[in-house]
Amino acid sequence: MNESLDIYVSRCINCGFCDAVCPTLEAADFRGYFGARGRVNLAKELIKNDIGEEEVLDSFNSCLHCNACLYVCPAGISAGEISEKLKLRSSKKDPLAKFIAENIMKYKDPLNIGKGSTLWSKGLKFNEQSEYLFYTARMYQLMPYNSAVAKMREKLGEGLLKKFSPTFSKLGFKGSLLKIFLEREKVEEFNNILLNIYKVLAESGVELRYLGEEEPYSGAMLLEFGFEKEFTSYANWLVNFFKSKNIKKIVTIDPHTYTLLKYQIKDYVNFPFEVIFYLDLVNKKANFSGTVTIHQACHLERYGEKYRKYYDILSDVRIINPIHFNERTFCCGGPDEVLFPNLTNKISEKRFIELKSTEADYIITMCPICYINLKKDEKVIDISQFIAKF
Amino acid sequence: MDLLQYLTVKNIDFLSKREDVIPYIRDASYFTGELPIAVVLPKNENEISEILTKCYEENIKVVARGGGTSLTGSSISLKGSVVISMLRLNRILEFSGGDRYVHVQAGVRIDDLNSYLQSKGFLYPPDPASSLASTVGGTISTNAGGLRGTYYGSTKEWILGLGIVLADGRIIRTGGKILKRSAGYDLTSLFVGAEGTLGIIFDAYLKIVPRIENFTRIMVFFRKAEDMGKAIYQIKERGLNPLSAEFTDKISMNIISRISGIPVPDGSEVLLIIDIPILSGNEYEKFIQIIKNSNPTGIKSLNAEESEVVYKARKGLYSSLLNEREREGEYIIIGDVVVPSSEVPEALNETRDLIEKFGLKISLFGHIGDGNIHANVFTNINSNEEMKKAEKFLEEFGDIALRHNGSVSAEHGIGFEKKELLIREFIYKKSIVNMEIMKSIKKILDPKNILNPGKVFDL
Repeated sequence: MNESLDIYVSRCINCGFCDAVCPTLEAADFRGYFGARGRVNLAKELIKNDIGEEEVLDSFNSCLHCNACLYVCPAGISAGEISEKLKLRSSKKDPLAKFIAENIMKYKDPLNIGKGSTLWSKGLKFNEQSEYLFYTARMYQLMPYNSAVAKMREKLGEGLLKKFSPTFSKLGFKGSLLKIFLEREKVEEFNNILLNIYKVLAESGVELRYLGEEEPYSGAMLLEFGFEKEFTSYANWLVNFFKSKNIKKIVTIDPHTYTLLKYQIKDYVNFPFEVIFYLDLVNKKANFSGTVTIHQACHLERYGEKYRKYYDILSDVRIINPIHFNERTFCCGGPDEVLFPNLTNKISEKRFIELKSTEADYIITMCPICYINLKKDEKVIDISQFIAKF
Repeated sequence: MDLLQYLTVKNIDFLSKREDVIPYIRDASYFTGELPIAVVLPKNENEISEILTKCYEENIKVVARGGGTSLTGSSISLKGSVVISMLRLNRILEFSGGDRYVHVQAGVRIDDLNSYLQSKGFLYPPDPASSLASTVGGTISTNAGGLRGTYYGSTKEWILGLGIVLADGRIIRTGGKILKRSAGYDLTSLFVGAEGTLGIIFDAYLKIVPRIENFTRIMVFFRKAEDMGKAIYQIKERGLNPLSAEFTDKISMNIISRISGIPVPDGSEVLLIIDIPILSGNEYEKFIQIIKNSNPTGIKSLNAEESEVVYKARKGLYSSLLNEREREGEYIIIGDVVVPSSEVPEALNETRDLIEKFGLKISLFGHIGDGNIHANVFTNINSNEEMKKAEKFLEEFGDIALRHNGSVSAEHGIGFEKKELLIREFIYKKSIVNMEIMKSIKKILDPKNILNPGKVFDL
């Protein structure tokens, strides 16, 4: 956005194209408040001070930032970007979001999972001298813990969870507290994906450096939840941290961290590192005689570039496209998992049905958030697992 | 019991908080509506019937809303009204390729319908530029057109039957799954283009056709719009039917050239994009022969990739023009007239003179195959002076259409915007009684004037 928010918003002609592709509108049973056009219209009122921040908070918070609206907007504006800017500007914050933000600032980890982030790397060989930093940003590791939070929400109820959030923050929250709700198999499943990513890179001759327990989270959720000041401070810390470790090249393994470090962070801090998505370093071609369908991550399709290296890796495999693919790929609903789990469930169910209806042998994902939301049967496979297997 | 209590008792979902109803006060026109008392989200026709029964009793205004894509203000909310959002009625109920129909609920979006039909090898032809967002019910209510109109006609040609809730809550059905019918007055047609003023359409039987996959897209450049108009007329005169025939003026031609990378030949002022169906084998040669004899400055036959890029550029022309806006508050108000093909050359000449006279920034494009011309007027909607000038231009633009035996509205409906132009058309045609007939029909079907009052005409 190169202009002031009010001018940007005023370019909207209210054609409704954004609503037609906005995943949250349908998931919210077509309540316009949860649709892209609704968000822009509410932004118009908020800018004029004709409505209060409190009333519109959920509308902006529920935006998935999938950028589907930007792709179809005749006037070239993004309801996602508007939501993000207004969240950043707003002084009202969701208590659960606040709790997570405080954890990130305090522990460099949204849920303070501690050693849980390094279990996958046990026994693996890393090279401290390698030019490539293998940066998981704890994303794959966090997914089973996010599910545990969702389970806790089910037990406690939405209201109670939000009520307890400030207490959790105050007492110093530890991810291990989620043990009762944590599914061992899920932890193993995600650790196994990390292992496969490591393996396909190793097989491609890439030696990696890994920071183990010291590895911090990227800070992405600070931006997603509208904590701009905190994110700026965190981003500065992150830069200094990487500098102190003499890092030059960062190999990211999930789309959210990749686009954050490659594009978004530059609005806040000078980020003098080369950012790579790990598939760029893979020199293997998958060899599979069946069919696959690909769930393309929004962050790889509609953020800064159209990242499609996976087509080279899968060039010998028959791909069946779902209804929504490439620039029109449909969000898995994941980004709403913390604050609006009901929306996430409906969106992921819809997308899973779309993918499943291709009748492909495998449904390939390439993002931990997409994977956990779409893993509704055995056909769903992370691209690293697929490459390692075939 | 007031309306909101009634809806609660009836277990009908509604929204009434300010932040919930704000998203419904605008559509794609430049009008802004008033806050409604509630937005109702019915799941079926029975709920719509219950809502209307109560609104009829209580004299509450009702505005039906599909995708909210009207360019004339048809779907904006009114003060003290109830908005009925049709988006939850979004199921495809039945498909029959053999009987050539699809039965759908009114809230199905046009592109979604065609995605479904494409998988079965069929097509529902109406394709307004808003097809991504516009709904079956909305496009029937405005008799929408589109790029394919020259070959297939507009929406009215494709409606076999309708399910409608009347103002007092009664549910009726017109037509059905049959391709022909001669049984009394054609009530189906009565509701096409009625913009929600006579009843609320909740489902429709739509006629479908097998897709024509084999066609060639060509770009033809001309020095004079007149030559292009003559070419189109001769093509049709000789019994040929382009699948679509789109024209643009120089501003829009340069945009398409920039997007597609296809250069504009020297001296070109007008671009024609034609889709030639390849049915029996020699259509292409016949088309090309006529075009070559029409003084083109260049002809470019497109390969599959170019064809796709040019189609997207044409469909996105309005978007591209929006990005040419330079001033705060600037909008594009679209004139939408139609004339017979034979009158296109002269109508275009007169429009060019009119643009010069007004000195406004205007770009012309349109579905020239069926004589539909759009004038895109760049206007600061916050300036009374500019708005008056734009309105005057559109009035005279409408007059050009009328002088050439055309109409002031081809495919966008009347809404709020063109009420005066509609009267002008009836007066010009010495048939103002048409307005009286319309008002009489309205009074029979909606005696309390609760359905979208103030749209199409004032009672």
